[in-house]
Amino acid sequence: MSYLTPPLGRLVGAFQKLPGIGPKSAQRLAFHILKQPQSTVEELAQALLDAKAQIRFCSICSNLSAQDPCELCTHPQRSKATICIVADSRDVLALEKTHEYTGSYHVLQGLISPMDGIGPEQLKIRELVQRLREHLQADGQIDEIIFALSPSIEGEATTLYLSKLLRPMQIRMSRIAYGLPMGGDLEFADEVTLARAMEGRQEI
Amino acid sequence: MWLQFIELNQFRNYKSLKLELGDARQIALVGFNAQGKSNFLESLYLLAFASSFRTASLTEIVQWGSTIATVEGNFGYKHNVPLSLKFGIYKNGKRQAIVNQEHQKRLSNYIGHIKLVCFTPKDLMMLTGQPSDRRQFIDLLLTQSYPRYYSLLQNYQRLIKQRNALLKNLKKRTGSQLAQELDELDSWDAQISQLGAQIIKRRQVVLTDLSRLLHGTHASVSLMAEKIELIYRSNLGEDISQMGLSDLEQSLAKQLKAKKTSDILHGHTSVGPHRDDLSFVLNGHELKFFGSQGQIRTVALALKIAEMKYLSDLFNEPPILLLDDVFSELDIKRQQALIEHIQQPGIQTFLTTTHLEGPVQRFFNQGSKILHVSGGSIFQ
Ligand SMILES: [Zn+2]
Repeated sequence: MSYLTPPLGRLVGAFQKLPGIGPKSAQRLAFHILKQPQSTVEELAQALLDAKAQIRFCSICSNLSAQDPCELCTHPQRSKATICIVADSRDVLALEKTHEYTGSYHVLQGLISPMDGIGPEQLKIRELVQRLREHLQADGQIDEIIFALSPSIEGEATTLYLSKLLRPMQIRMSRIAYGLPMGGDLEFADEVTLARAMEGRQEI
Repeated sequence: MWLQFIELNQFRNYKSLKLELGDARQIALVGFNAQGKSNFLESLYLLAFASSFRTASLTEIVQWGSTIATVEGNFGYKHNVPLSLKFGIYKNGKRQAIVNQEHQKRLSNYIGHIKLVCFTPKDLMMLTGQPSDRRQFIDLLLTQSYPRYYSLLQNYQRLIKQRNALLKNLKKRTGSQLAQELDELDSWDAQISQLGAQIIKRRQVVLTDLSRLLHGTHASVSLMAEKIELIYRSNLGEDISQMGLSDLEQSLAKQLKAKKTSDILHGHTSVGPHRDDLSFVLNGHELKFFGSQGQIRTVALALKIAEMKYLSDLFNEPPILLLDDVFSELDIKRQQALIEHIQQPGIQTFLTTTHLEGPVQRFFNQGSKILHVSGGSIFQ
């Protein structure tokens, strides 16, 4: 590779460490940054630092948030009696976009995957059990726990593990129906997806 | 189905090749060794299965100094719309898979469009080789037969990897963490039983059909009254031939549980279809232990012909046949038997050879193509 003056080399190197950014994209981003006015660059740098300094896991739902408890956990109209379990904060965003769900969330911050060194200990499972226990002890009601994890083998393992763990609490548990993606080819959908889509069929 | 047009770019020793085949059904690739005959067959195999019958590291296919090797083909169907596929391998290992101008994100949506039977000298060894060779044979046939089989197999293999990683952790654990991870193991085992049972069932069904076909093709190749059987050997420890899907699932779950302690000790999963095998039984004797060289070759040849018949029957149309230098491995009698079977109308055959001689010469008539391969170029 051709020579880059040290600060530029460091910037390219930093971009390249980001997910999905190859050497070419890293260079493009770095040169783009250099062309921007001083104020834009300062804004970006400050945004990065602020986000890192201010955002924490919510002590109730483990979602990423600058305030604790988070905006969703403190929202007066959100039901505390329905908890939707998701893997990632991005899943909360996706579900919120639908405007269909009015309960609360619990974010596991990952899925069980022994290959990647992720077991129940590494996920926000202890926090979930604690949360449910405290809620029930305070005479609160839990109507339903909804599992909304990805239809992968890791998502399935996590759902199976959690449903077994929570079963003694005698709370109603359900999981979102997995369907076929729009525009998907029925012939090429895998067995598991197809079986689930069949289970979750609806009357028309 | 048949290949009508093929284009290779930066593919091994082919810098750029465009070949129009029209409706030719018999195509001979003649030339000295290391001129590109097998490379050409490999490109067709890659186009069909996104893998190679010669190497596990696909990046070696990319010509030196290039970023991507591609193969593109247009296919004709008897009763269907034309099909065009393109497959590319980048130097960095990434892949590009295109069906009818549409990029496919998942290989499971790509593999299986082309029905193809490939016969190389390696296939003569499959019967006596490793169990994994025989599993690969049956899995490749199933991938072509049922579009969903490929992703089923991929998910199953990933489950086994996850379980093995967990088993290795479990060996080091004690106390409450051990109890927790044993619970975690159950959630993997439940899925392994479910998907594993589906794989066993699929394999068993296809082997029953294949065994029946093999019986007939073997008789016509060997010309002797011998009885050949093709049997699925599961490691579940009970007779599975009459079991339905839910019985298989239960049986696999039971075995996973029974082998749990020793699996933890060894750090890998000892039961399931990833450890199963096929066995060829000739006149009541296991071929790989008691078969002569000649008997093994006869069965290997009969199996390939049975595989062709199986795909022909299933899709109502013969698959494409690749014969990589196999005539030199067969005696005159077996060469004649093979030619008889592939001479049926409709089958498109690509064969490589250093010299067109013996019975195979008669196979080439009007409408067939004899192509001379030399230094990465093909001359009509
Ligand atoms: Zn919260």
